[in-house]
Amino acid sequence: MADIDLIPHDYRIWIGQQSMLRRYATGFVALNAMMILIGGGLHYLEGQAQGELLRVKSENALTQQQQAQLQQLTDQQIEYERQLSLLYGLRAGAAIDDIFAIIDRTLVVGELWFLDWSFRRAGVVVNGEPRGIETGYFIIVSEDGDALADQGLEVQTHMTIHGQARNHQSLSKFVRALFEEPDIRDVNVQKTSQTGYANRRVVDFAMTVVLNSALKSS
Amino acid sequence: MSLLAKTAARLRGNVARARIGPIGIDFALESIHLVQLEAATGKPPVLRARASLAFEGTRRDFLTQPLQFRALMKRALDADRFQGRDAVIAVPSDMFRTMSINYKCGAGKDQEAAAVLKVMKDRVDGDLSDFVLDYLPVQSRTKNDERLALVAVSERKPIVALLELARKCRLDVQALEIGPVAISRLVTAFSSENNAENVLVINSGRRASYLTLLSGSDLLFDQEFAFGETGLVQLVAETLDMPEDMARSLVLRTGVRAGGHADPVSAAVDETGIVDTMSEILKPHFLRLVDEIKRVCLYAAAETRGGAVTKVYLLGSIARWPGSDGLLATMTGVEVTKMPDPLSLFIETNENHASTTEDPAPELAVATGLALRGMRTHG
Repeated sequence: MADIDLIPHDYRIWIGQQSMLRRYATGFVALNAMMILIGGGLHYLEGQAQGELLRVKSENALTQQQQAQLQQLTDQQIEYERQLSLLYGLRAGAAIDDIFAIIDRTLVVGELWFLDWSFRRAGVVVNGEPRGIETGYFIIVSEDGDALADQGLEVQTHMTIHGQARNHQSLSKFVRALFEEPDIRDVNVQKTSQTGYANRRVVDFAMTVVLNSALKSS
Repeated sequence: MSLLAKTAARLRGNVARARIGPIGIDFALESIHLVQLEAATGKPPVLRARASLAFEGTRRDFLTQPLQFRALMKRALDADRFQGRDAVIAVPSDMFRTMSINYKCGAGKDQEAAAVLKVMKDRVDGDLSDFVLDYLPVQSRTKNDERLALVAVSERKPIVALLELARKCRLDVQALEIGPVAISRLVTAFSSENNAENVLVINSGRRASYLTLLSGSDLLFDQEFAFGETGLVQLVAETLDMPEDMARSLVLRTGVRAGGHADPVSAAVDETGIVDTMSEILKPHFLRLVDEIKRVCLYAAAETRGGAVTKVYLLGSIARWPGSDGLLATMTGVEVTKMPDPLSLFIETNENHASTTEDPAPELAVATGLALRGMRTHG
């Protein structure tokens, strides 16, 4: 059955428009409210994140400070260890009485005599494989902690001798005898000259004897 | 039954209850009536909510006072389980008129509407744009390329005012109908399907009655007739020399025909004499109505190729008088019955209303017919 409807057509359209407008307005308000809520939520989360970031940053700063302190302490430890090695090296070289014994073995009585001598023990930078403290080398450690390749500090024991020999033959014999000693590394005759001594001519000389660092008592 | 099955059954139940019809709202002379139906899928509609509230003052006053309108509507909607704001409203009887028109037109809805408008231009006083009209074509009747339609016409201004009142009450008016259409829908719901008999519905009011002629599902004719309860009660009061209130209660108690279902008090004191007196007083006036009914019967026969009016339903104020249907049946020779309780067709679902038959509400006929709009009555 058909039905009667006395609602004017234009009024129905107007009502439809009103309804649509109301729906849009409601939707707009709801959307805005949602955006505000989301914005608020995001702002809150941002605040939380900022707080967390500050906390992490402060923790990171603390960690960096601790790292710097650790680095400083590590450097200090390395320095102390280097000084300790040096000290050990200095303490470890050939004993004085051994040196005297070596010299004494090579010395021919009456052919050569000493006027003056000096003894020096010092570090010398050399190339070579690190061989521990007992070898007389100190490992030079760079800033970043890596050992400098093939560089070490060798503790060398120098003996500078100023003396006089009867002649050059006696001096040569003495030098050869020194070279034959295993604990003598090098012998450098620095100067020789003829000079008078009493009523005869003698050879005045100056030489440097370099001893091995790991000198053992014989 | 497992928990899952129970839940599924419950959900199915909720889905089945989903279809809730519009609220039918009828502004009667002294009160407002609301009815809402609901229907499960594939099942006939059942009553969901009903309410009847009296106005303070007249209907005209009520419809011009937005605050009172809103307050009463709120009370009415709160009175029962009404749901939603969709409404179908009946235009009050004094705000519209109906007329049957003949028109010629070709095929097509637009041409038909144009033809109806052309006819109506000559039938209304003033500019047609000041009026709102709608029409119901009579499908079963085409005579010499002439068609018949029942046109409802109303002034635009009061219609818009009524719609605005409803809108301000946050009612979503789906349709603005007229009472006869609602009643014809109700009568169709009462009748079996494909029933093509002619039925006359007499809706009696205080000052006038409305005669609505139905042919099957077609609304053939609707006419106002000056025959109301007030006039008859005045006549009884003058004749018996008693106040109108007393005359009204006397008629309501004794009825107008012996053998009518008068109340137990009347039966106990054997008021047969009084009933006969009432009948004698009122019969001449009922004859006017009988003449009108006969004219309608002739019209029905003319429009439906000799089809007779097989049944007359009586409702309204005079229908409450005991024996009024019997008196009319005797005088017209046609089966006259009081309109069945409009809610009896719809099984109650509200536990607050134990049974509709115990609380018949003939005054809800229009509101029930309105609430039926868009609902399938046979499931």
